[in-house]
Amino acid sequence: MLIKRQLLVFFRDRAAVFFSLMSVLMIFALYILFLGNVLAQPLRAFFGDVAGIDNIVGGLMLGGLVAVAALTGCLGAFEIFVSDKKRASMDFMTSPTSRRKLSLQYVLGSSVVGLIMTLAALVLVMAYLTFNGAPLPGLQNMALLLFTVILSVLCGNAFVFFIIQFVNGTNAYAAVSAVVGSLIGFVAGVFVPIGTMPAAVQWIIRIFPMSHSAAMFRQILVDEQLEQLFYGAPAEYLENFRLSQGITYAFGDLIINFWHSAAVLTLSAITFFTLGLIFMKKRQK
Amino acid sequence: MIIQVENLRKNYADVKAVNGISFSVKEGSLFSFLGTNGAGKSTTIGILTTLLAQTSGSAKVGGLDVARQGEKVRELIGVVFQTAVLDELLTVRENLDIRAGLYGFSARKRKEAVENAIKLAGISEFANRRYGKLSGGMRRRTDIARALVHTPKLLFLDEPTTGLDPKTRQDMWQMLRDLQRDTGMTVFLTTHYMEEAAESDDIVVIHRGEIRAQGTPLCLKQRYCHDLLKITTTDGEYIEKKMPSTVDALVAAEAYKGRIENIEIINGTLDDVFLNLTEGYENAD
Repeated sequence: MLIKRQLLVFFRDRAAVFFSLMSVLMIFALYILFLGNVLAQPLRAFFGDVAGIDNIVGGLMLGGLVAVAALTGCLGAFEIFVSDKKRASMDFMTSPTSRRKLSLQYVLGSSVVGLIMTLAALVLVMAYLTFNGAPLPGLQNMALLLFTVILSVLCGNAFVFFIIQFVNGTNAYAAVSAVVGSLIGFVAGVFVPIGTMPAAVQWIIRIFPMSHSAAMFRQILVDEQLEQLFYGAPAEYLENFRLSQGITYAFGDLIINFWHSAAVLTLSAITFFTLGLIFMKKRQK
Repeated sequence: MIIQVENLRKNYADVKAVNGISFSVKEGSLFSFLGTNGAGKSTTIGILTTLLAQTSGSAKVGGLDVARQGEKVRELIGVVFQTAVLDELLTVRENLDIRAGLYGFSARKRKEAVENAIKLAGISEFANRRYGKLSGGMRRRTDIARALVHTPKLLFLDEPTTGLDPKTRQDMWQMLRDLQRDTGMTVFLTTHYMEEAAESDDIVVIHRGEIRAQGTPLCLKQRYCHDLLKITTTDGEYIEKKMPSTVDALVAAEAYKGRIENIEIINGTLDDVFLNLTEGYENAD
């Protein structure tokens, strides 16, 4: 029942829905206004005015946008949990439902809200790309997109669940949300390609789980088009481009593939959720 | 006895919020727990409703230990908190339905429980309106309906009428009296309004974490306040005497028979009891 409550309360609060979509809308607006063109220029300079470059840039940037939506959607949903700490949680805690079950229902509720917000962002991105001439992903890629959405939401949710153990009150949470919402676009390599950043920042991006979500979305959305674009070019050209654009990451000689990133997201989700539970128990004591 | 408290203590670091209190509450009675702000009322209610753990001593509700059998205790109790805990964006019916879901009812039983609570609290005319759009009185009635949704044996009301206008307070009390008459429910009340406590079967006065007095309203008035006899005689003499009771005041007035121009007997009230018990100790300290 708390899952139903979380859905009703979140989606009836228009401000909450709007602000949890704020980062996503900003990225989308910046892409349409100028960032798309800025990011396409180096490719045009190299390949000339070849068809499909705009779709590749769109896939790269908007793939990152869906990863951002997975985190900000969960951030918005967990605001209910934070405000309940001071108010409604007393009410729930005087019911016979165990505290463990209550916590689990909050996490599940936030996951459902995050899933809906991320799917909405994905539909927006797919509609925009298809409308502008990008090929519609095949069934297998559709299934992979759905899989990545679910994994990203689970990881984003666990990450937020961990963070909120250290946040007291809605004001502090709003501040944390604003900071995360502002930084996530950079950390996921949406605004600036990862290859142009200093080595230390690249290292942070590589270990941040949501960057792997962005990489997975980018691989599904642009890999086939990239192979066509780089057809006939030396293989290391394509590999370097993929690394510089955050389509994949390298740890030493190891190039991370789709399933490696999926494993990073899964392990991160388990780790953050476990740590969150440990800290929550400590606080309750 | 539905509540039995023995030598209960709750410390917050060096502060003794509740300092070895013992009392009991009869099943089906209206029990008032009085004290100034910070006296230890909310801490005691917090322990009895399983929201707080005691430092030492024992508290039993319905024969169940609140520290060890919390989940079973929570099936027996309903709580109306000082502050609103329901969701402003949900309707009254939705709020009640979600709370009923916390008691493990089937869908049919949940619907019955919600309709029963709406009927008991007399809130059917605004059951489909959003909680956030209700007046203060309507909200309080809804809070009570929420506490009744699982037909508890014991209802805790923590300052339920604070901030309500006199007419709404009167209506709410009428509702509670009807409820107690119809269901035989035990009501555990904290209030700042002594005229509300005057209707109780038993009263406990707590001050600085310790019980200062307990008994029926009449018994407390006899022990901790006095009547005031004021006489003006025909020859201009003015007499003012504190008397243990109205009967004593009448006997004393006999001495002035034949020369009384004006006579007034002011009955002691529970306000006097409360002030004597709390201010008396303040001065003693």
